[in-house]
Amino acid sequence: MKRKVKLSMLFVATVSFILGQLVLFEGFARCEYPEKPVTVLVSFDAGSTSDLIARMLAVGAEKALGTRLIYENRGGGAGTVAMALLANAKPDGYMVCATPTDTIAYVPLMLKVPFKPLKSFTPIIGMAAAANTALIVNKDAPWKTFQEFIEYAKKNPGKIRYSSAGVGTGMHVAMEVIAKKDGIKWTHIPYKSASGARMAMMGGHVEACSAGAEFVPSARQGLVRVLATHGEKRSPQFPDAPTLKELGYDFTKETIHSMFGPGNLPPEILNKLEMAFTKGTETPEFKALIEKIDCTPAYLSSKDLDRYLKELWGRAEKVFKEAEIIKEPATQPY
Amino acid sequence: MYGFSIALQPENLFFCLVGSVLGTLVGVLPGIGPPGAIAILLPVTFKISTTGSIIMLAGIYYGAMYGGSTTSILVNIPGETASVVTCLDGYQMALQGRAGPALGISAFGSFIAGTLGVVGLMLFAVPLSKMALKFGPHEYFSLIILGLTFVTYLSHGSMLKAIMMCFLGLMLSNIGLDPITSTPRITFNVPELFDGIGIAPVAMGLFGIGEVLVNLEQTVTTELVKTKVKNLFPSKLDWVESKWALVRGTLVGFVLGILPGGGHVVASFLSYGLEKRVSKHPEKFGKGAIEGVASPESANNSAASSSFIPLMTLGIPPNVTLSILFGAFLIHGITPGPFLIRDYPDVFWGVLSSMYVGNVMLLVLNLPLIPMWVQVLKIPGKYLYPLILLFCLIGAYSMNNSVFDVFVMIIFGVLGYLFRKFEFEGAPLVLAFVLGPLLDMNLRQALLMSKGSFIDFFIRPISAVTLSVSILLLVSATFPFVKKRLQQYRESVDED
Amino acid sequence: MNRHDLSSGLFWLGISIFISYQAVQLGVGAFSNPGPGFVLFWSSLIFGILSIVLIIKSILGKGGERILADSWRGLKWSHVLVTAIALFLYASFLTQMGFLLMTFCFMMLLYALGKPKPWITVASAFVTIMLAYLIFHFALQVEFPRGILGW
Repeated sequence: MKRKVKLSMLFVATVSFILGQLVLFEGFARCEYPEKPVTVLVSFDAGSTSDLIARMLAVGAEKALGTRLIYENRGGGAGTVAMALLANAKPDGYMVCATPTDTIAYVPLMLKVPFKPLKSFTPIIGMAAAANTALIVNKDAPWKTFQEFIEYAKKNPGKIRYSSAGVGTGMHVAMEVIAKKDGIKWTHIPYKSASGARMAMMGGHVEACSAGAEFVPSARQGLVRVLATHGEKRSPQFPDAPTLKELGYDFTKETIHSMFGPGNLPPEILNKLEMAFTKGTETPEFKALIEKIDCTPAYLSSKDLDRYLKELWGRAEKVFKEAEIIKEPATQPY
Repeated sequence: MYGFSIALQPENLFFCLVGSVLGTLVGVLPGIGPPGAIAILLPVTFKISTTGSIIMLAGIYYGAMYGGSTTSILVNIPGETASVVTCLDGYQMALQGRAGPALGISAFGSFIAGTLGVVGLMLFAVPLSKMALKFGPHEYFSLIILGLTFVTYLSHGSMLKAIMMCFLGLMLSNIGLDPITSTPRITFNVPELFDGIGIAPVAMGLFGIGEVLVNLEQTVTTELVKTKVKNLFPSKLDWVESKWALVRGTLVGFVLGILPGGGHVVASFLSYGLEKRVSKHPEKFGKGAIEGVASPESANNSAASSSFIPLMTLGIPPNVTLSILFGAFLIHGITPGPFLIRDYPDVFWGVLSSMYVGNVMLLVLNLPLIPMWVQVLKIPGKYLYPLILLFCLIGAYSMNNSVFDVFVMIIFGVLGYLFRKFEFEGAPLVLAFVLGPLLDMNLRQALLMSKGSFIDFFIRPISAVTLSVSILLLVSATFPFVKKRLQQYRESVDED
Repeated sequence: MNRHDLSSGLFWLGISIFISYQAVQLGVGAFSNPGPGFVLFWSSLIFGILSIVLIIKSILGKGGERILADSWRGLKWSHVLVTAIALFLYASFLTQMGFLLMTFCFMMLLYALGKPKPWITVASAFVTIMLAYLIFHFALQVEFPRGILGW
């Protein structure tokens, strides 16, 4: 018995010694960023445009960065939940967040959010523009054109309910602009994700949906009808649908899906991330995806994105005030 | 048919095996769940074929369902949130020396349910997804209320206290940033609370750490189970008792797995409640009734199968794990949705058939392991409990690399201990906590839609039916009380 | 008089008042336009009512001569206290001391509760941390915090 005990003790000691060496060795081997996987928060639920774009980056970015990218969806508040988390994260380069510019420029004007939109973050890159979101209704709905829909809404205040991906998103803002200009009363039903909003309309629970770019496959199948689009020009996929601008509303939605880091990110880390994600946008898989989901490539470097956001904020504030959606911004940018 | 020819190719079989084994492992370990494992293997999937990677990742998912019940039964720690319910009767069975049958019925139940679930997936995928569209906020709200009503059937103590725990869970689930308006709710400006309290630390704390703390009060040196461990496999009697539980569990799980928001968690709770309600001996529940293990285990496995439906047919992943799987699809250039079956039939059918194969594999894997797992119970308490605590600590930390989660778990561990002392139960709290955010969101959306009127809940057909059932259940639960009071009254009248 | 239920009832009542207050601050909103505090407010209200019911039941009902301390009589509650404190200390200092060191101390403390021979305590703790590190760090790639010693 004693011999057995001695042998097993020897065995344990040897194993522990070896493991101990591995541990110490590991301690010396690492010093450079990135030494462990990087978490990418996605500010909308899985399957959304932001999510698709962010995940496709991994193909090129992981190789360029030299470490794994772990994705976590944290939808809610039209992207502000994820960004609030990011604002409080350590600027060590291990957490970034993919979100559309709506979350930075539109939502904080309408809602008080727990971060400073132009101060709490370091913009890394802008990736793709998703301007062709639209107002859609079911294929069996009684309104065939935008005008018919507006007429009905004017005559029946409060009867129309529409869903969107959240309070303060460009899609919500578009509807509010229309409502203010035409004196319409309709009810906004916010959802956590654009697909949820669209599903609600397809299930007949709301009459219309101000939808994100994921509606495109359903529209191509004829399941939904596009009444108007929110972009600068008509969408190439739906050339018959007028833009809001054509219809006389002074609002053009500008959305660029982008990547952010916490504020005050050290320059070396920012450079590495910027380079890695840029490579991510250059892969054929990424380009194919962008086309598939009806977005246009819109690359912005870190500095350009920073400048763009500041401009966008100013423009949005002006438009919102003129359209009388807000009197003052709900959140101060700095 | 065609699918099997794909699934049975040697390399796909290998991936299936890897996935299932890894899945079982992470299912057994508390805290690290399928999301973690899938995330780890994701880069590997770049290098192998599309079908192969999806097969492997899917294997992890339902392997975890199998593994999660093991720790629930053996040491009362839910390895997976959906296994919380299995703790209730499974652990009691283990204490009575019946850990073997518990593990066995859980494995077999999971197999049967998983297989039937895949069949259902094949046959009903398309029509069911259409039905899912009909669920608007009113319907979801009523369904959640139904689920919470079952809370009363989860409690084997005071119903008043169970309902209180349910509301407590609801309130706790609201902590964090409001998903609609981004307003911080009860966060005291602590940033870690912006995302709310995680369900896993709560469950591990209440059930795992709480249990350990309670046990530590007894003399720590003896083994966990003093009685000899009898039979290692379910007896014939066990089978007879559980067969309907399995069927009901499978059905409930299948239907609920389709609905987004943690379908398999709700499914396991609901099927347990249902079993208790229809059982001829409800008092046995919570003390080691084998149906109490068979039912939730089959429910969560069939829910795991049916949760693929919204993913593959609508392109909407109903829970966290499947969203990662969704990401995996994307990386390989496939967009799940209505076109998946049409454009990539080999992926669809290949994955389906591999789910059959996976279920078989898991059964074969898990059964021989049962005697081994039972040995775990023989480890003396003085070593076992510290080890359990360590597993919980590591598990909680590893989810988000966050010490905060560990703190949350410890706090709930102490709470769990106090709950036992003051005779409150954790299960209703956990269920309400999981459902809370959905309840909040759907209620607000429903009220917005119907402009504050509550009548709509009763006009819309699905919602009306569900709510009425809940009300009936609640009322009928008070019958025993009313009867008793009436009887006492009559007796006191007679005495005069 | 059921002292257990009375004390827990009072505690929960306090909680419900606190939460109701918070909910009102957040904005309950109307029925047609629920605010962020809507569900919180109504559920804390019901919770408060239920705790009052519990309190009433505990005062009126039987509970016999049971006093609070009875729940702990004859049990080794010191073990529980020590373990709880150890858990809190572990979580508080984990990032500073690093996983290996902290876990080692923690396991030693816990194993010691069972009063085995000292060398067994140390050896078991050592083996435990090595195995844990092997399984979780190498196999499952969990990132543990490294403390002052770099471990």
